Amino acid sequence: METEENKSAVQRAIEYGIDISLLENNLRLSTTERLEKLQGMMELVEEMKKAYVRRYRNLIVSDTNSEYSPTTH
Amino acid sequence: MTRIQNILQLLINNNIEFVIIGGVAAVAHGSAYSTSDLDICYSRSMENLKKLSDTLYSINAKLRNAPPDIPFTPDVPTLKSGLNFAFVTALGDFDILGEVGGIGFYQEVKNISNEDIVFGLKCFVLDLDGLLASKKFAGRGKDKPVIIELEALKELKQKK
Repeated sequence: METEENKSAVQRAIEYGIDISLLENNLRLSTTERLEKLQGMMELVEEMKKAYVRRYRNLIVSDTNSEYSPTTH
Repeated sequence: MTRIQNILQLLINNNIEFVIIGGVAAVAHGSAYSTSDLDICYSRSMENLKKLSDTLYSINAKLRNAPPDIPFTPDVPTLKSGLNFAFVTALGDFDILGEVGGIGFYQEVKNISNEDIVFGLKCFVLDLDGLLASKKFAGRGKDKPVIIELEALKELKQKK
């Protein structure tokens, strides 16, 4: 019977929900290429944060200009 | 956003003794998990502390998650009296560790690191066993999936 101990590390990872194909793809890249991917991900997150702030700010402005805004009552 | 290449270039240009550890080291080995900062382990020799201090000044390093009214300057006495620091800098979040839990100080960390070419720069990167030791020692819940992934990566690399 297969126990937790005699499972391979890859098998345990698959059962945990880790996408092994991502790891296999990463292993085909150079170290620099892997870190460039990470840097790209960081840039994407940064852009999304900025977009969120812009949207949130616009919502506040439009709410302030609305006739239903508490500030106009 | 942390500019990994720019920080590494600065550290190399200033001849600082360091090893890349943490999430960036994990990604360097093939991890698919993302990170938002750069962690290094640094030598605590006086010469290295001086160079590191100058570098931290040059990127306007401030303590991260510390109240703004707490005075802080990354001078040599401050670095010498502390050990591990988390900074926000002009080049993003940057953490420096004098000691890595589960491994030890700079020399022990360097002994289990590999020299690698990163963005065209020769850097030492903590090896997979070292990363696993540090993550297991930290014992944080958030590290569990990373540990499982790193063990799988180790097995995949051995099969190659």
